Amino acid sequence: MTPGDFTLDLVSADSPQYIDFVPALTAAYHALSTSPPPTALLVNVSACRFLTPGHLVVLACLVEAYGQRKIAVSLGVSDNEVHDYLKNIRFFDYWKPGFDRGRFTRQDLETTLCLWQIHPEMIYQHAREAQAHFSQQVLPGKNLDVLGLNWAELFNNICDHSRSEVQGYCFTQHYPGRQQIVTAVCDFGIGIPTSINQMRRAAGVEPLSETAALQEALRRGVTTRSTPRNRGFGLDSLATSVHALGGELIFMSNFALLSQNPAGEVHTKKLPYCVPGTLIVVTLNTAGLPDVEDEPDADELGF
Amino acid sequence: MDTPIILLNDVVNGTYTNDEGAKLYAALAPHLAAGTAVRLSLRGASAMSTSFLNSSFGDLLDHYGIVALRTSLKLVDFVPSHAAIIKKYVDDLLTLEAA
Repeated sequence: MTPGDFTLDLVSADSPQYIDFVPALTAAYHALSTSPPPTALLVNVSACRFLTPGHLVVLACLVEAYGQRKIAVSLGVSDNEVHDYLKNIRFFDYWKPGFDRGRFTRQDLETTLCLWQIHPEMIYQHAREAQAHFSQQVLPGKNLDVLGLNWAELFNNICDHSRSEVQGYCFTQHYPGRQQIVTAVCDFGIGIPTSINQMRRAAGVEPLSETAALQEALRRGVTTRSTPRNRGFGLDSLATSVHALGGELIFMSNFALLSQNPAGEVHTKKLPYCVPGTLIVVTLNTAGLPDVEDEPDADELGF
Repeated sequence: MDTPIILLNDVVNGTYTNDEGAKLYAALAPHLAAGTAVRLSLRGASAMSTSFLNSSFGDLLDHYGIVALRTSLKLVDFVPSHAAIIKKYVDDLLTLEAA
């Protein structure tokens, strides 16, 4: 390590631990605003026992942010499973010259869907390839429409609202022992509470606390109209479908955290640090997935 | 004269984005404008995201209203869950607009 380097020490227990984990990542991001900025980023996973999709997508956005500023990023050599896992999913290959981070990258790991930089023109292709991967490899006979729709809602949300310079990243992992599929997306954009309150101020309405603003964003019909095509259905649709399957949702954005448990109960918490942009983690219970539906109905349906 | 059938997968390449929803809108709008009947076949279609619905059924409702939608459009060849998504979307949008 040389003077001017920033060492990112990732430390985790055997659980998602987002509240404890994300500050280190966001501190590395905020270091980019210091003068002078770091000359290099060294990622140290020697004390890290567990990396979840939520950790990975924040790390990906961080590496992207450093890469955009032409600051070198390297992974410290460690003799542990996390180091091997990052190698197996080719994490640091993504920033090698010529690597297309926006394309669907096939991997040998059956339980892992590739890291993906979200591009608006690739939303459908990625969601369909991802759905096919899990349908063929992991969950044959199950109706995976909810996976495709959740991905579509998450990707569209980033593309329409985030204003993120690093675009955003998505990663999905299947945990067969727990019967869970976990998808995480992250962007380093404006953040949901900031976006909601900007809209409120522009409308002459009193801004909300960050936690209240985050909760407001999930209410059906609430939209910042970042594009004229938004109607405020996306995040509500996501939350509703996750609840229907007994899944869980976590949002971390700016100084707010929101969680929805399998019973559909929503809890919010003020964070002691600022998350640049938004991290969303969707956990689906695969045991609750419906079976593939029968052939199309012979009737016709009106409105 | 038989009611024309539009196959969704002939019109759009996916049901997840606003742009594809706009293509469906363009295919159905002339029928609603003229008050003529049309069937939309969902054979082989994937489930529809809210972005797609916003730019298709949402815009049809905005521009032509629920009466025109009910008069002209019928869904056929659907799996129940896909039709339920569309119906719920239309019902929710009408409820929001009435509020």
